[in-house]
Amino acid sequence: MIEPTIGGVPGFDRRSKRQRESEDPVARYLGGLQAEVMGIFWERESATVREVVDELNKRRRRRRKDEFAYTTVLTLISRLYARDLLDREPAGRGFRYRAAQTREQLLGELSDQLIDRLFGDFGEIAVARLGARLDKLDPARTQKLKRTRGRP
Amino acid sequence: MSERPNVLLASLFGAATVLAGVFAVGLTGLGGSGLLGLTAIVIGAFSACVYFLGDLQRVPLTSLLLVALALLSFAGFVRAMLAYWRERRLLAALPLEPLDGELAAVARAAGATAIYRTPGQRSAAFCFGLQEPRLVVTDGLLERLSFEEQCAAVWHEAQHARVREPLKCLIARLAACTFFWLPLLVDLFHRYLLAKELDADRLAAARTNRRALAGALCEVVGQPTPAGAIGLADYAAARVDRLFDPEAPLPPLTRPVRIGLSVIAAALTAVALAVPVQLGLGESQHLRSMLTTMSLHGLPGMAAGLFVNGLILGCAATGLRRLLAARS
Repeated sequence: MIEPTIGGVPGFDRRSKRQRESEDPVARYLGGLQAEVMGIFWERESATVREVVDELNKRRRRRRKDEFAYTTVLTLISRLYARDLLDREPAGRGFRYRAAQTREQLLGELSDQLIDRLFGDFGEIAVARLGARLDKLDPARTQKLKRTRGRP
Repeated sequence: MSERPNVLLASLFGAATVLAGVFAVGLTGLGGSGLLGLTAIVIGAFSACVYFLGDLQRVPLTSLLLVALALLSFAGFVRAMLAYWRERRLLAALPLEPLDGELAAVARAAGATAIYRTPGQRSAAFCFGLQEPRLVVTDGLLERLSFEEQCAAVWHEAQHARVREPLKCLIARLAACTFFWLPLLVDLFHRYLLAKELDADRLAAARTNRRALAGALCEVVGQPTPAGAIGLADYAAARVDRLFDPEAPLPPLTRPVRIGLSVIAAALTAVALAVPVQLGLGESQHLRSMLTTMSLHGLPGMAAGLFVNGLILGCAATGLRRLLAARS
């Protein structure tokens, strides 16, 4: 089953060790292959599946790795589209895809989701955070803090 | 009660160690076979296979209580460890980049070994890592705070890193989660959490100023809640009050009801330890058959009952948690 979007981040606890420990933060979330495909979309304005296949295989030939079939890349791109990471528009008999957000935006969203989950579900276990013990502050004291700060 | 985090942590750790030792002695005294039989009774009762209880020559209530409390404590410990494991995985997935510039210099001056930024827009600053605590600030927080306020946040977190607060937090949480059935210990844990924040606030305000710290706290404070709506409101109020008045009183450590519950729990534990009832496996034919046969009233029935009851309790707990979350 395809995971819906970056929202919910359901797959984090089921990732392989290799994926979890990847150097690239995007690959840690999407996996190496999908991260590589996203990298291609971030480098160019837009691309068809055929163009992505050619670019991927050019890189893999340089690294002396097996080339990808068209259908494999089509599946990868369909998954990225289903996760709302790509937008598409009709082009001839197929589609032309483009990244729905920049790499920084994706990492920012990912970071927010992780922080929400980190402090949301059970509270922090071995983390000390600035906002600890401040989650349910009454309005009067919130106002007092704002007044002391001197700006709204 | 002392307000020093280390004293509170030592009390908490000491109490948990004594309790763990007491349980170890008590369970060792029951012997291997006795322990097995009592565990089977507790699990059997939970899985609704209680018919054999009536056939026992004597119901070993005190020993049953000891085993039940030990199992509950073990479950609490495992739950906390699983939560810690999940937290580690989430932290490992967090995109981090080393932070340079003036703020990094402030962090080094404050005694932190490393400071990182993460590209999220949420306002957050925290410190994690058991051996070498690392500071993390979000881009969102950095954008919203003035440099002075950023320094206050860094000094606050650096104090946590300097005294290895993540490790201490883990120890404290494990102690509190393991013996969660002792409300006084849980209250001690919450007081420790408050004390360590007050300690870091004090240092941050001294190194920068009150206004800068108030600004930093303003950005990370959650949704306002009517005063007294839930217990945590008291801790939040105490933290803000101490910012303006170092002598402001803290909320009471615990409530009379919780003291009463703790006394009852401690007394029951003491009785269970003082009057152990040995149970031989041969004492109950049904018990023996339950452990060895594959009939409906044997291991398969017990496993099915355990699963069904676990499912019911799990669903009820989840439903209750969601209801409470929706109401708050």
